[in-house]
Parts: sequence; C-alpha cells; structure tokens
Amino acid sequence: MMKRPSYFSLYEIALLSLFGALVFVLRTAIIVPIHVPGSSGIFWVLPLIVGTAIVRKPGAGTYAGLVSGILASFFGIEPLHVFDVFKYTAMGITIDLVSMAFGYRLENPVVGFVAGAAGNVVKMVVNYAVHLLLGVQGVFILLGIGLSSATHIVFGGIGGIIAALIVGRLYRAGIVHQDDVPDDG
Amino acid sequence: MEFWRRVLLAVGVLVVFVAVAFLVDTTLSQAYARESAFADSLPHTAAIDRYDLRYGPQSWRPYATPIAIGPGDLPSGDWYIAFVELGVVPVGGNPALARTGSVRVDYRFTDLAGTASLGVYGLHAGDGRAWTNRQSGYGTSGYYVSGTAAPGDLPRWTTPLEAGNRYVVEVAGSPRPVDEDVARDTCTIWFERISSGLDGIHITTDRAAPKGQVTETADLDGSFYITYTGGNRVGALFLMVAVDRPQPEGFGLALESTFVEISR
Repeated sequence: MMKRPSYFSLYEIALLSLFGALVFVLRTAIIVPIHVPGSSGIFWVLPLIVGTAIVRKPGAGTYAGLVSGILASFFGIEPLHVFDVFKYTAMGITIDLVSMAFGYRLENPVVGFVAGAAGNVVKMVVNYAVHLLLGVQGVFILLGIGLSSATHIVFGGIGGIIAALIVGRLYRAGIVHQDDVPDDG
Repeated sequence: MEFWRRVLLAVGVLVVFVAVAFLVDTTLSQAYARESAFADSLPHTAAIDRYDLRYGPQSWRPYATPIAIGPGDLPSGDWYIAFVELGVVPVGGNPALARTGSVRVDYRFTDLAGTASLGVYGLHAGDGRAWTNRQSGYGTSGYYVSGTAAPGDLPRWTTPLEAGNRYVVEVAGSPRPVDEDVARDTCTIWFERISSGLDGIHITTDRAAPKGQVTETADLDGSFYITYTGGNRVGALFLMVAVDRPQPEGFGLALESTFVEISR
C-alpha cells in the first residue's frame, strides 16, 4: 500500500518547530525596556518570517505560530495562559497570508515590513479580542489603541525588514534556495 | 507592476487601520476625559477608626504566599488589618507617551498604640491582578509609624484572613452602610504566582528614588509617595494599614491622596 506523503517533510516540521520555539525563547529571554506597546514584536516576527521564507508552503507560518502559542500557553508566561495560543497562531496565519499574497518574496524588505507589521498588529487585535471575551471593560482596552496599533505596526515592520534582510542573505549565500526547497524527509 | 500595486494596497490597509484606531481612541479619550478630569484634579480623602480594622490577629499580609507585615522577612506578631482605597492611582510607562506620576499620601494618626505598618496594593486595570510592595530582598520598601498611646480592648469584630493567593477584603474608609445587613464594599486581591507582582509598586519618601526604601518613624503625621515602575495600567490602589496592638477608642487615621505628575 502506498504511504500518503505528509504535507510538510520531516525537515520542514523540525525547522518550523525550532523557529516556533525560538519565538517563545525570544519572548522569554529578551525584554525591551522602553515600555512601548508592541516593541517586543520586533523579535517575535523574525523567526516566523524566516521560517515561512525557507519552507515556502501555505501553513508554514501558522504551524510555527501554533508551536510558539502552545509553548507560551503551557509555560504560562503571560496572563492569558491557554488563550495565548490564539494570538501567536493568528500572527502565524497573517504572515502566511501576506507571504502567499506576495508570492513568497520575503527577501524583499517592503514585503518583510508588510508581513511583520500585519502579523504584529493582528496579534494585538486578537489579544484585545480575548481580553474582551474574558470580560475586561472595552474602554480600558480601546483607550490608547491608536498609538498602540501604530507602534505595533512600526516595531513589527522593523522586525519584518530585519527578517527580509536575513532571508536575502541566506538566498544569496546559497544556504537556502528560493526554487529548490528541501522536500525529502 | 502587479507586485507594487499589491504593496501599495497592503500599506494602504495598514494606514487605514491605524487611522480608524486613532479615531476610536480620540473619540473615547475625549468622552472619558470629560468624565474624569474634574475628579483627577482633586485630592481623595479617607478616614478610618478602630472598627475598620476588620482582619486579624495574624502575622502575615496577603500575597501569593503569606509575607511579613512588620519589618523583616519572617511573619511575626499579631496584627490587625484594614484596606483603604486611595482613589488615585500612579501611572507608569514611557513619560513621552503618557502622563506618568506617583501618588502622594498625607497621613495623620491619632492615638496610635504600638506600630502601624503601611503597605500598598495596586490592582491591574481589567483583570485585577495585584502588585504589592516588596517585603524582603533587593528593592524592599515599606513604611512604619510607631505611636505611644495605651492599647485598647481586644477587638471582637476581627477575623483572620484565609491564606491563599486570592483575597476578597472589605474596603475601609468608604461610608459604612446605614443598614447593617447591607454589605460593605469589597475588593478582590489576587496574585498569579510566587515572585510575580512584587516589583511594580513601591513606597518611597524620595521621588528621586522611585523603587523606594523602608522608613520607620515616630511622626504621627507625615507623607510618602506610592510609585509605579511598570508599564501596565493600575486600575485601583489600596493602602493596607496594619497595627500590632488593639487600638484605643480614640484611634484614627486620616489620609489624603493626590496624583503628582512626574515633571519631564
């Protein structure tokens, strides 16, 4: 009987899991002490974009986001605990969608900016939505949302540009091939 | 060409999102500012007497694990406790983005017997997680006042708090209900886990030292500041007043709290 090939190869699963774990590690290890909302996004989006750019398959960002969300939920590093999985996964889904819309040209800094900014701002929206669902008064959440959304976009965008530069260097160095993705486990 | 059209569209969507967010924010801020501007500019006052000391006798104060009330690391002594809402909250974060500041508390004790320990509890806006001033180790802060009045009778209206990480406590200082069957205002203080919630809120006598210090004084009236060095929003602020003797009939504590903006 023919064994149905899995969507992601073993190599891709290992790579995306490591990148997902890296999001969690960066979130835990690096605290940006400037007290500006969304500033940590500069680190969060990096592994997701680089992982998506290397694997170049729909669902890659979602998978890495889900891994980081599960880790964040079970380690309870943030007050939402199990609900954290939603915001990390949403960030991954958004980066996936943006990558697909731009044909995986994630080595382009402009695309990197859009992917990072969109991922970080969607994470913010999902975070607020979960708080609303848990009964937090809307006024506490919506006061400051203007500045918060701008800073989320700026910091996510900066992270996306850095990720694009890294991806570009990987392509140029021949470490990762744009048209020849390792596929066999 | 198609690629750059998509880029423009994506950037446009992000810009529209930020514009709508600012519109919502500005509209809400204006409505909220109208409601709170008058209240913010006024000092908030509260007063308690011996009957407001509802909890105790006990050697510890609320945290994720019981912590000492008196100076030092280990819980000891028999303390009677009240929680007073200060009505004003400190604001932390980036001073370029918010009107940051601390809360100045002016106090006046009358007929204080023994030592009063003042601690602070701040509740996270929204989910109500609590911070309190660190009791031991690096960054400890606290405020102790000693009085010379003769102790009063043992209070019959107090009960010790039950140890845990969630405490529902009566708020003293608010007007007592005329009808005894009507419950007093309560607040819920809860801590997520041990070691969290100890480094956000502090008591200091010197605003240049926002992380605070331990002060022991015999002055029955004086002032101190409550500072917040975190980046979240503090929703409510409570002063824990604990005394290590039964207080006489004439015991009282008057508090006046004022928001003091950090000058840029």
